[in-house]
Amino acid sequence: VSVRTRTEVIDCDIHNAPRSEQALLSYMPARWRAARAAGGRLEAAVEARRETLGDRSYLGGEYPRATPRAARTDAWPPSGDPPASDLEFMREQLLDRYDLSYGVLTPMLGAGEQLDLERGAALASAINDWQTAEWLEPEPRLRASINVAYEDGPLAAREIHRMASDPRFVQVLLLIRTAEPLGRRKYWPIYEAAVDHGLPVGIHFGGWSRGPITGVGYGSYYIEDTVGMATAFADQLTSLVCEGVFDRYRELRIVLIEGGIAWLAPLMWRLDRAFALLGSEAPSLSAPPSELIREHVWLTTQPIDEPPRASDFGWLLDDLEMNDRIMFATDYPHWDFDAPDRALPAGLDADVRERIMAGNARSLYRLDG
Amino acid sequence: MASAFAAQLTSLVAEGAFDRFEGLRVSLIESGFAWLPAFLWRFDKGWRGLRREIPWTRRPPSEYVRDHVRVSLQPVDGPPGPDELERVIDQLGSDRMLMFSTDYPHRHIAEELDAVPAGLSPALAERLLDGNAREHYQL
Repeated sequence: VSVRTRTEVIDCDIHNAPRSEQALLSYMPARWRAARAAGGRLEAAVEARRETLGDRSYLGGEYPRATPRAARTDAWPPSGDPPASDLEFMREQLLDRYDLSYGVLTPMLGAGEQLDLERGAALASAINDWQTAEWLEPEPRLRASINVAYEDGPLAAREIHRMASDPRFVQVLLLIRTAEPLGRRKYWPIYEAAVDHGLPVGIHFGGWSRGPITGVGYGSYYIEDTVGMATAFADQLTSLVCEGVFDRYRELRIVLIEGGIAWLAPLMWRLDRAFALLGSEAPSLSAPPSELIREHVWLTTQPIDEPPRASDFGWLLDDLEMNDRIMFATDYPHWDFDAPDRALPAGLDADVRERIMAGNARSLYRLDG
Repeated sequence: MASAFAAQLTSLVAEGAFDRFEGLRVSLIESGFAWLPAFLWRFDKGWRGLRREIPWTRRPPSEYVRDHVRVSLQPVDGPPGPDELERVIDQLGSDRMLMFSTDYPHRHIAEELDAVPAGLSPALAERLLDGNAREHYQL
């Protein structure tokens, strides 16, 4: 059954997965295949654990999530393979059902989180080659994200240079919880390579920060992890602004994925007020933070913010002044999926709805009409 | 710093501190407040999806926060216009949460130290300058 919405739909956050962790091994050089088979993080026992606990590993804490693999309970394919690992079932449940024009793949498979940076780089390359062979080749509606070992700038830049010639890879992909704030210079080679190739840098919910996942330590529960992610987005954007990344890389485009959108206007108010008082500490900033953010930042919708009063959703868009920067996403196959026909509130201006549902992504990712 | 306050509020609610200690009163001092509406929308939405993980919480997080938490005025971190600022305070869902503060002797934008922000209704200004702190601190 197809659910057709009145407006075109482009989905900017789809978490495709391998049928098994072993399935990625065939894309890795022999050295790493052997290491993993001998007891790497993705050995069989670990993989079995991930079925129940999920596939993000935080140092010192891993929260049982809402559902196995944090997936919709109906997203497991008939084959029993993991959610979003079966292209045919993804077509049925997402691409065809909602008549998507395009979907952007954002596989989160740990490449950036490896302590062994060379292994992380090998894993990133394997993930990118796997995306090409098993997703982009058979399905023309899909676009992909370049996975990188983002804790090593030069290694990440090397992978960006390797993949950028394929226009179906539409952005670089990082996770929001990194080892250091993303404005720090160790990450600049990533921005330089992305700008060289005209690619946006997408930064997605999640990741292992190698330190406590909030500024005050670890919480006990997944709800603290997931609700608290918005603060990671705010802190990273603060770093990108204050460290002068947007002044250094004038063409840099950042996509904040799965952060929601309502937190950003209050951050801009606060940053602008602080800039008025403390701007002399950051003399390289060429403009107030809100101007830099509105120039360089895109946002995806899911999990869409749900103020209890409908009028407040209109206000939050007015406060943002970024109607040309907000892009729809489902987060398929995760439990907090936003459906294309239900995510945005009724009564939204038709032009704004069209831009959010498809037009903004079409422009940013240069997708054909 | 707002992120740290948000994480602590998340912890206090999720761990059930307000369920265990029904008379607990918490003051967020120098936290700002404009981030609170969006934070509470997000927390309430997360709670609707995940409340079975923390079944001792019986109400949406925003209700605990409105009942138990008070917030000092400085630093004013809202939008620049007085109408927008009053609207953000309205989005808190309570006229009882904000308490006047100066942060003396720390440096702030000079015109903001003079009084309550422009544009607030007299009733809200009175609660902010006097009534809310009186109740919270039992003065």
